[in-house]
Formats: sequence, C-alpha cells, structure tokens
Amino acid sequence: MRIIDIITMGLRSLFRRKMRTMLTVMGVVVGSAAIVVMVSLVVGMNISLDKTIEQMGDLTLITIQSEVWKPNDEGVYDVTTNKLDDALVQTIRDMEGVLAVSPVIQQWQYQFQFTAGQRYKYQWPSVMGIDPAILPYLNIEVASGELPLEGDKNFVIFSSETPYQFRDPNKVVRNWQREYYNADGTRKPPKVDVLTADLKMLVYSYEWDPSTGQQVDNSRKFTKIPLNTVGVMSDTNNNEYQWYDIVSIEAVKELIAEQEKLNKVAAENSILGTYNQVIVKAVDMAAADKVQLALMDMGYSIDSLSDTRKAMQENQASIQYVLLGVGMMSLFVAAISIANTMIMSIYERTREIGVMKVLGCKIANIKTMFLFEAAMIGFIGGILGVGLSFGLSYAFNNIEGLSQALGSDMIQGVETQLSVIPLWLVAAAIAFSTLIGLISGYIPAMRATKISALEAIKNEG
Amino acid sequence: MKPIIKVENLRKVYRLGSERVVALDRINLVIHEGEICCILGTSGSGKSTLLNMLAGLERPTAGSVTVCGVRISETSEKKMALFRQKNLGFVFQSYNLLNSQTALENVALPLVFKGVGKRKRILAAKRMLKAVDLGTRMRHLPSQMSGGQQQRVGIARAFVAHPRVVFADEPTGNLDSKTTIEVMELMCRMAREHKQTLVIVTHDSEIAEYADRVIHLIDGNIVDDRYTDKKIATEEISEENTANEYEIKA
Ligand SMILES: Nc1ncnc2c1ncn2[C@@H]1O[C@H](COP(=O)(O)OP(=O)(O)O)[C@@H](O)[C@H]1O
Ligand SMILES: [Mg+2]
Repeated sequence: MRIIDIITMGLRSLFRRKMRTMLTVMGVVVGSAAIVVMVSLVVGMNISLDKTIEQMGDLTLITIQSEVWKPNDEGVYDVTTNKLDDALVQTIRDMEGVLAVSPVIQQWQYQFQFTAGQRYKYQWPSVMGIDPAILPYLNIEVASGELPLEGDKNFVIFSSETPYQFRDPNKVVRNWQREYYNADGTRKPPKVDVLTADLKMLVYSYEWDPSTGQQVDNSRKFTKIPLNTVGVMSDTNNNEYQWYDIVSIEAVKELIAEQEKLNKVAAENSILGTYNQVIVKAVDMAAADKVQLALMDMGYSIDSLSDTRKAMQENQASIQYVLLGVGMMSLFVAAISIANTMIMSIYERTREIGVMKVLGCKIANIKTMFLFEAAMIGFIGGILGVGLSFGLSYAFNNIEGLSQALGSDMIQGVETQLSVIPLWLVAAAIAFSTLIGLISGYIPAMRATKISALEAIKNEG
Repeated sequence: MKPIIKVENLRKVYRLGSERVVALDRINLVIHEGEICCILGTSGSGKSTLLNMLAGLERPTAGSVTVCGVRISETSEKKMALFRQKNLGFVFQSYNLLNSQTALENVALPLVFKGVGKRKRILAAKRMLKAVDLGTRMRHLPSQMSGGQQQRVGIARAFVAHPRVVFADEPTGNLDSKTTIEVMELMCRMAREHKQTLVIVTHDSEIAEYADRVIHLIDGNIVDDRYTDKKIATEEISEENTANEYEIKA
C-alpha cells in the first residue's frame, strides 16, 4: 500500500466521524494549550529574571572583592577577607575560558589629584586603577575622547561629572551660582577642555609649617604622571564604574610606591601588592561558573550574580513545577481521550478491518493507518492548541488585572511579559501532541491488527 | 487439468467450553484450475468452515490445504496478506462494501492494498464496473444502490486484481430470485472469461446448476462430488470470448 493511500484513507475516516474527531481534537487542544501556556509562563518568568539580572550586570564578569559581606548561619552579616595579589591574578589568567583579568586599586589612604595646566586642579577624585586590558568588557561608553589600548599607562577615563570639577584653587569665588550656572539655570561649560589640556595625575601631600601654623602643599616635589589618552564617560553610562575616574593601575602603584618610600613605610605595612578587587571576564556564563567554582575551591568568597540568579530561579522552580504539572495532567487526559476514541473507532470498524484483511491489506498497513489517525488527532489538536495559547498568552500579557493577579509585576523596574511563547515551544508542542497521539493510538492500533479476517465473513449485520 | 486447490485429511473441531463441535470431519478434495465449483449443503453442514479453510482465513485442526502451490494452512498471517493480494478474490453474502466509499473506490480497494497507482487502479476499476453493467453508478455510495447492484460491485471488486481463485460464500443469500440469476450468471461469466477458479458456497440447489462441479457436504463430510454436463457447453463459449475486456497489468 502506498503512503499517500494510507494517508488518504486515514484522513477520510477521521473526516467521516466529524463530531467525534472534533471532540477528541478539542481534548488535545485544551491539553496542549494548557502545556504551552504553562511553559510560556515559565519562559516569561525566566526572561524577566534574566532581564533583572542583566540590569544588575554582566554574568560573564566576575568581581572578587577583598572584603565580602555575607549573612552567616544566624543571618548576621559577617565580613570575609580575600587575599587579592599578583599570584592570584596570574592563577586566574591561566584558567580556561578567561578572556581578561585586571586587579583594581581603589584606595583612600593617599589623596590623588588631577591638574590641568598650571592653574586648574581637581582635588578630590575617586581614582580607580585598572589594567586597560579589561576595559573593553566593562561596558564603559565615552561621550568624548578615546579609550586607551592595552598597555597604555598614561590614560584616564573621567566620570561625566569630573570635567566640571576642575577649578582654580586660588580664585576666590563669591557667587557659586553665578560662577557655574547661567541665568536660566543651565550649567556653564567646564573651565577646562580636558581633551586638550595638559593633564597630569599626582598624589596631593602637604607639610605642616609650624612657623605659620598653615599646611603647605609640597606635592610639586613628587612625580606627576602625564595623562595623554583621555576619555569622558557619557552621562547615560549606567554601571558601577560611573562615579570613578579610571586610570592605569601601574600609574597608581608608581605614585603610591613613591609615597611609601618617602614615608618609610615598612614592607609588611605596604598597601602595594594587594588589591581591592580583581575583575575577571570569562568567555561565557559556563566558563564564568567554572572560574567561580575554582576560586571558591581555593577558599575565596565570591558574591556572584550567577549565585543570585540561581537562588532566584530556585525560588521560581517550585511554581514552575506546579504549572507544568497542571499542563501535563490535561494532556494526559487528552491522551486517554484519544485512546478511547481510537478504540471506539476500532469496535465500529471491526467488520471493515476484517474486509480489508480478506482483500489482502497487510497488517502493517492497518497498523499504520490507525497510528496515522491517532497521530493526526494529536497533530491537529497541537496546532489548534498552539493557536489558542497565543490568544491566551495575549490576554495574560494585556489584561491589566489578570497580569497583576498572576504576579507579572513582581520584578520591579523591569518591563516584563507574563507569558512568552518562543518558536521552539510552538514546534515542541505540536511535535509533543503528535507523539501523544501516536502513543495513545498504539494499543488500539495493535488491537486493530489482531481483528480476525473472519469478522468479514460472518453473515450477521 | 492442473490442480489448483488440494485438501488432504482436513479436519476442524471447535471447542465450546467442554463441548466439541466437529465442523469438518475428514475432507479430501482436489479442485482444478478454471473449475466453477459449488459446495452445497444445509445450514450447519460445514460449508463456510471449509471455504474459510480453503481461503486461509482459519487454521485447520488437522490436515493441510494447498492453494496455488502454497501450503496456506501453515503460512503466516503476514505472508497470507501478500498471497491474497496476488491470488485470491472474495464475494461476500452481505456484500461488505465500505459504506463511506463510492462504487469505484470499493472496486479499486484490492489494488490500493496491492500498491497500484491511482490512475491505473481507477482505470481498472472503471472497466470492471462497466463489465458488471454499473458504468453509470461509479460515484454512488453503497447506501444508494440496491442489493443486486451492491453485489455486482462486490463481484467487480473480487475480480479486479485478476485473482486465480475467487471464493464466494452464499453470494446470493440476501438477494431475490431474479437478481440471484443475474448475479450468478455474471460471476460465472467473469470466471470463465479468464479461466479463473470459482468456489461458491450455497445451500440452494438451484444455484448449483451454474457450476461445473457440485460438492455435497453433510455434517462435515463430502457425501457427493459430481461434474455437471453444463461444463462442456460453457467452456466452448469461453473459448471464443478471449477479448480481454478488463485486463490490467498490476
Ligand atoms: N467459530 C465457531 N465456533 C464454534 N462453532 C462453530 C464456529 N463456526 C462454526 N461452528 C460450528 O461448525 C458447524 C459448521 O458451521 P458452518 O461451517 O458455518 O456451517 P454452514 O456454513 O454450512 O452453515 C456448525 O455446527 C457451527 O455451529
Ligand atoms: Mg455458512
């Protein structure tokens, strides 16, 4: 028997019993729609979760802090210290899946200062020293100027606010409002064009002059590091580095070393050699997870986004299981209904099957015909079910009260969709319904093949 | 003449609980190619049982059945499907047409199972329907036809694939006497045209008159086996009529 004939005969017998086929298909529609909607809710949840975490930062970026505050077993926050040194940086650099590593120095022991020409100074910057190799991964956008290349020691990336902070310390400002703002309340441009000015970085230091009782700035005696590559962050830059002026860690170390030498700081008290942070960029999330695990094994305490994500997902998992359970249950009911329909159909067609056998129809063909019919019920039900779920999904996402009742606004500040139906779900739902049809049609089909050809010969009816 | 059906020491016993019903006692029989053979007997004499056995629809309790050189009493059901496609045709008492299909589709059914393409089988089925004088009813459903017409569709279906043997169990059992004559003549004519073997089961001795040979069955035993003189006369007619009206190459 040709496949096309098996298909035609199967479709005809489905079509012949329109009402029953329709009712059975309805069962599958409800079942598959239930599954699709439930999965779409789960998908929607995970998407909003990922969006939330994305807002928190890049999951492939790991930041190891020298001090980590975590709640202990009693729920009281405790500090754990991590020793962040060059050995660790090298170890991480050698790990698999690591794109870039940078130690970070953010310290307040020494007061850094920027100068622009002879006149203008910015006296209170928050300096952060990093290795420029990590820069491409920190998502820092510059509004003007340029980003340094790897190996650059003489660079600075100012926060968007910094250019306004360059002032002439000798100028007495009577009216701050008039000095820095226009009459209409808008801000006056910075006094200095940081991109063209002669920029230098130094450590501010002073001596106490006992004769006058005044502090005297003696920082002109120290090294001044010229800053040739200059960038200014855009004010829409929205990340954890937006308030820092980022410079080369080498430059920072050099200035600190000079100060420590001057102050005769003993080696064991030196702040050099340890870092405040180490930033690691991994190739992907899996690699990031591996690096974290490796670090944890080494005894480092890490407060990672990936952990946060896992915790949040675990919280949602229980809801998801319930949702999936409801979906599976309705599809199971649909499967029973398919099996029931097929068995009814076989009882009804006992004689017909007998006749077909006597006329030389192969057993395998009879089986295929019935399996096809059952699979077809599943297939059509699956397609209609997916259609129905798109409708339901739309309703969930757009009916105000409904989405609130179902908790789509549980994540604040993130635009979320309660129910999301990805393409794979459409394909999977149709394939799954068809498979359910096949499975529930299997026993009836086997039964059909066992019907004796003698049924056709019997003369009653 | 070549033997086409060979039955040796065939026995069929049904068990109904503790009771045993001997449907066929001990049958020995040879049917030759091209014979029109009638199995005659009263109700319950075992005719249907014998026919089912000859057609391989039931397994014997003892003995063997060989059709077209194949011991069908020992052939698997899977192989029997192919064997039936190739060699056997059936005419039923209650026609057994598929109610949802037209006359044309019903006739084409054995060819569908055989895997014949649509165009070819429709052509063959049309020829067969014309041959049974139903050329104008091809698109009719069984419910739209009289009993006699339905049985003619049944006959067209039995012959469409050019089987070597056609079995008919009480083919006129549901028909009035006038239609019975039409149907019997049609069936015998078709069988003779292509020298096909026809085995008819009936309880009606008038039907037996169409056959070349009448096998009388009583209580599961052959009590009489006789050739009628009709055979010689009809054979001459069929010699002349060699035009292949409904030949197909399936
Ligand atoms: N499936 C069966 N189970 C039990 N007894 C049967 C069965 N088929 C036939 N018989 C018995 O076998 C005998 C012959 O039946 P059957 O061949 O149908 O007779 P006929 O066709 O000549 O009327 C009857 O007594 C009948 O009751
Ligand atoms: Mg009978």
